[in-house]
Amino acid sequence: MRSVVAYGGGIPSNTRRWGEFVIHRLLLYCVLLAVVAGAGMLGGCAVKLAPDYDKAIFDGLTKINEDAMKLFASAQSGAASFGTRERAYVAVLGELDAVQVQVASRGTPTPPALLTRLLTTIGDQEAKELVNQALIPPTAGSIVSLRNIMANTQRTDRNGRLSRARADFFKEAFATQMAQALTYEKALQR
Amino acid sequence: MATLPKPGEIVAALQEAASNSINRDITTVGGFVKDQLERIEALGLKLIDMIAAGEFEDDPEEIEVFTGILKDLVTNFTNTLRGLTVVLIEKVWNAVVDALWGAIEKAAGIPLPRP
Repeated sequence: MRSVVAYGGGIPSNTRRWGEFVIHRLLLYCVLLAVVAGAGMLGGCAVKLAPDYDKAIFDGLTKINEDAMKLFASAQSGAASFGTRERAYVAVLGELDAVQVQVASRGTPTPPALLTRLLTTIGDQEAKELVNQALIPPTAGSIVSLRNIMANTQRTDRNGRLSRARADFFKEAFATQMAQALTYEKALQR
Repeated sequence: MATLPKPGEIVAALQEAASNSINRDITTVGGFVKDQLERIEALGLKLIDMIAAGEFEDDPEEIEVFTGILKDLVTNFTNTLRGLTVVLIEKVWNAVVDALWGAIEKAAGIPLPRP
């Protein structure tokens, strides 16, 4: 439990400690989630730890991915100017904001009542916070990152500094982030 | 007349329920992890190449934008993995609960309200 206390204050700035922080947090989440599920079992009820699949969110992300890849292809070719892509940047950023609203309105599952009572009785505030954190779906964070990548691509393009190398990097980063979001959303189809 | 299960019968049923519910998901998660790590590694190497090629010579502060994107990708990767783990745990536990309820119903010979 020493590591839990050590990393309780948030993500450390030191890179090495940050890696240790991620590993410790993942292990801790697994243990706590097993407890959550166990509490559900003891309570004799089916546990619900993740949100329902929402086809509109999945389809929205898929559409954004298609639009963004077309935009990146244009930027990578270097054949057209920023002016011809300006509206496409605004459209993709707007689509990302729209899906973010849908994700926010979907809500987050609450921990099983028995576990909440158990943790309240024990009085372990940190464990309660970690359980709540573990139940936060990752999609909202992915969309924030997708928006950041697209906004940086737009800014770099507008400033005339979108070299082939930078365009390649932004495109691959966007695709990697999108793969995370789509994999999670698809996993909710259970 | 209710039939009592033989020793180990319920455990076998629970084990089967757990395995059936996650076999495909484990493969999916394994593929996701490998794909993500390869992609993130490739991006890291690309950034090193860009720096070595002098891409940021006239605006070194811009490097922080790219390293920031890499950091976000790693953080969100671990969060996504955690999210997928949550879904897996939920599936396994509900499958086990369902199998257990079924076994009790069979042994008791009466229908029980589903959890």
